[in-house]
Amino acid sequence: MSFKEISTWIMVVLFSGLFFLYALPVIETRSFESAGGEQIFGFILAFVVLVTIAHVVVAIIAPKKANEAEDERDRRIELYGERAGSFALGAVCLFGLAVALITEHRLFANIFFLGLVWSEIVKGLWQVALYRRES
Amino acid sequence: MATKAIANRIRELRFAAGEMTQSHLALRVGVTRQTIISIEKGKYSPSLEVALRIAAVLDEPFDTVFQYDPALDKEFQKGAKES
Repeated sequence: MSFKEISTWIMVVLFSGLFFLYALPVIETRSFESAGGEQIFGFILAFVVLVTIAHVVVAIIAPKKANEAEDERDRRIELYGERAGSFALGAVCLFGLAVALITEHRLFANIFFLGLVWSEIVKGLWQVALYRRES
Repeated sequence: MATKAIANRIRELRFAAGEMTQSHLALRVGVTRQTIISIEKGKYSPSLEVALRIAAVLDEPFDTVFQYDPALDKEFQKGAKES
């Protein structure tokens, strides 16, 4: 297993742990009000610390692997993963937009809506630039 | 019998080239060992640059290392039918 794959496993396990630890009180209380800014900040901090520790441990156990540079296969796999992640993020944004519209939180509705439009602009501009560069 | 449009003889040629290890080939080509394993198994098609580098490291002509059979290439067959 390459360092890149090990690193991906670490991220998946830690993100899953974070997701369920954070989501559990929300599901239990059936309210998104149960966790606020402090909890979010705490989870982000804990995640960064755990990810760093996990990577350092792997680098100590297998230093040769840690020095491996990523190659074209790693980049391709990452790109496919990014695509799936973007799809999930887009779906969540649409859900957020719908909730914000229903609950009449216009500020959040506009943030979600403009965020989605902005991401499409960035994607399009990036693709146009690449098409031009490669033609 | 080959079942994929692109096949390769990397494993065989590595052994012929002084029993070169996957790690050594990977190092010379500039990819990870896992990528060499995937290419050998036919699970990953490398870029043209990497394929050419593999042939150069093994010191063999490109078509000795990689083989292409259009009869097994669905895209090629589709194009042939449409033209």
